[in-house]
Amino acid sequence: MKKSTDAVIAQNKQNPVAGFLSQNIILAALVVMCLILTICTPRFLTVKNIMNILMQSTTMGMAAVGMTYVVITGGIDLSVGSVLALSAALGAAAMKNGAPVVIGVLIMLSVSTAFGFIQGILISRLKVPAFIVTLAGMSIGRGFTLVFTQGKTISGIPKSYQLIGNGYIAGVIPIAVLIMFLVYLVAFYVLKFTTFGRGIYALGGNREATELSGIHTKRIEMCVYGVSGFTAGLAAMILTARLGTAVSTAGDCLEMDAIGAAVIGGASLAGGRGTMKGTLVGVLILSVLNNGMNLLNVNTFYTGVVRGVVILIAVLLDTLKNRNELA
Amino acid sequence: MKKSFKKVLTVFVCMTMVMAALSACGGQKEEPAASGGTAGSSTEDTKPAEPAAASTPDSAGDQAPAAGDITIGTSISTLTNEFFVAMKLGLEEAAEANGVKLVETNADNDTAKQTSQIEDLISQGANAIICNPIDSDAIVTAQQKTIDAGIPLIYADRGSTSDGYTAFLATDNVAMGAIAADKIAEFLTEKYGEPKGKVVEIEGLAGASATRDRGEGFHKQLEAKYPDIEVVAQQAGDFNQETSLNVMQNIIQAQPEFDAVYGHNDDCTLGSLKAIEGAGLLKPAGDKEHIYIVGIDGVADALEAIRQGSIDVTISQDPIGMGKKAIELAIQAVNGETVEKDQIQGHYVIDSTNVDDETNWANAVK
Repeated sequence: MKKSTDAVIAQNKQNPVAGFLSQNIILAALVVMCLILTICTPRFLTVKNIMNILMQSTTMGMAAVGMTYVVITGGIDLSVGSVLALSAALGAAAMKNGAPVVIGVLIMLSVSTAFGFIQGILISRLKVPAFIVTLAGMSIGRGFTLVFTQGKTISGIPKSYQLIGNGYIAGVIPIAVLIMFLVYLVAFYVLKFTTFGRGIYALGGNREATELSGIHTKRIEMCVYGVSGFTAGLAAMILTARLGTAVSTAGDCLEMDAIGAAVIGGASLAGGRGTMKGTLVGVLILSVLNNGMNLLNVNTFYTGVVRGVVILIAVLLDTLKNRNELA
Repeated sequence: MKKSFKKVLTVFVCMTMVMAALSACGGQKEEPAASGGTAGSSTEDTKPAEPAAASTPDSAGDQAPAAGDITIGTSISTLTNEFFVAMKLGLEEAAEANGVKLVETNADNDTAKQTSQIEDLISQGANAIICNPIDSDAIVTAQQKTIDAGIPLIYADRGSTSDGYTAFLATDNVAMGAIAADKIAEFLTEKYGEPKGKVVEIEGLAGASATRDRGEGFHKQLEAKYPDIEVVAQQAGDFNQETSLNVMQNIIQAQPEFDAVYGHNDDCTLGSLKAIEGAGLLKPAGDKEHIYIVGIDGVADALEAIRQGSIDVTISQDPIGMGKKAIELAIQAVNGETVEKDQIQGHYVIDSTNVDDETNWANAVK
């Protein structure tokens, strides 16, 4: 390992860009994808289109933040899509009935966070497997949403709230995108520079050792699901503002996208590995892929295949690189 | 020890993820569909072999109970979609009007649940069963049990791949696609003096029978009657507002100039509308640069958009009428009358002239 690191450093000196990319295979994959699309269509590399891609990343991107925390601890959260739908419906209904925007947002965030925390308590204190708890949570969250909305769409949300999803800062940068980047910055800081963040890695790397060294693993485990709920609430906030409605089927299959983004970004489902930077790149890869296929008007039947193949290649390259480094 | 545990855990997680993907993502985006089939189960032969063949219910005819004694069991695929809520409304109205007892079940898009609910209805002694199947293949087991029990079985909106049922009330998605083409041609003729121009098509969920039929009807009609109307982009909006919004944003980047949008359902057009609005391309109906938007289903939000002049047309099915008709057919079958086997429940165009009609199902459900 020492040797290869030295080799990489040497390589970095020779060609900083290539060295950086070889260290960040997934980022390199994203860059290559963007290059190919730029060559294929002049419409790809425009400010407007880049902003669209970022905008379209926000729902998945938010959910992927909490998901990354959860995945690093070795857990999984299947409930994010349902939690999104539930909190969106409750918040939207409140605003429709005259509650101020701030209250609507607070309802969304507190409902989702509470939902996550309850799951976290069941997982950490009662030792029920995360998969089971969040699978049940997925079902319960979606069920409550349907009971509450009666399967209907909630519209009539104030225009001022919709600014979160449709407004721009300085006429170029969407507010939603700005919020997403802020959340990533905070999440990055917390994960890298706080005791909580290091506890998350420790827990995922070796639970027994972490427990023995006196770290409150239960508290950490409970909190990551709370964080996951919170970010699902943020996703609900932005999605509802973008659509101007709360749909009972919102966030359907969101958990798969969020887990996918985290794993593409280098997180390991066995725990202990994963970064915010990687997840962000994973989110962007999925969004750029969708955008590119729309721009090129790729036949619908092929899009699934293309998507799968690109994801597979990206992850394979990363796996091979890691294996070489360890060898 | 530690390592093997991790391995087991990883395998477990992977397996369960696949399970979750299969179980969680199958049904949610279900679309009221005509000739059977759900997302992914592309059943080509959903149309029963002999349409309009009269069938007499095998039994129950000899008993012919009085209307007051008739119990009709219903099995609806899901109530997450207002369309089926409206169908339920029609069922209930007609049941009350005809004085029959209704036992209602909702299968939550779970095919196994639907089968067991129908079994329960049989054992509860229902005289007839009205079913809106989740999947036209998966319903066959329950259908056989119903036939074995000698109970008339009426399908509403979606049918079965196997014959033997009493009646099937279908929606003609191909015809609705063709009407969408006609409406768009009409608008473009107004605009250019002849049917020509560029259309963006936001498709439904790939593989769903509604997507296939609504696309087919639209394209065949364009090819046959309006060769100068060009479909410049054709992408999947998955019957989902968020997907349609994203897809339309991207299409606007690739194809900034188009005259009309055809969405396979109202979620497709409502999502597209958001993208068009966001790109500053939204002009009210009547404006020269107005982009014509034509969808299918007739949900409340689409009606609201029609009122505001941003969406032009939605081609509505008639779920309330379908529910009522199903009850009538069930009573006829129980009384031993001959029932026409395969019937098409009508659809009609909703635009600014009739958007407020009480007969529009979305207005009735609210």
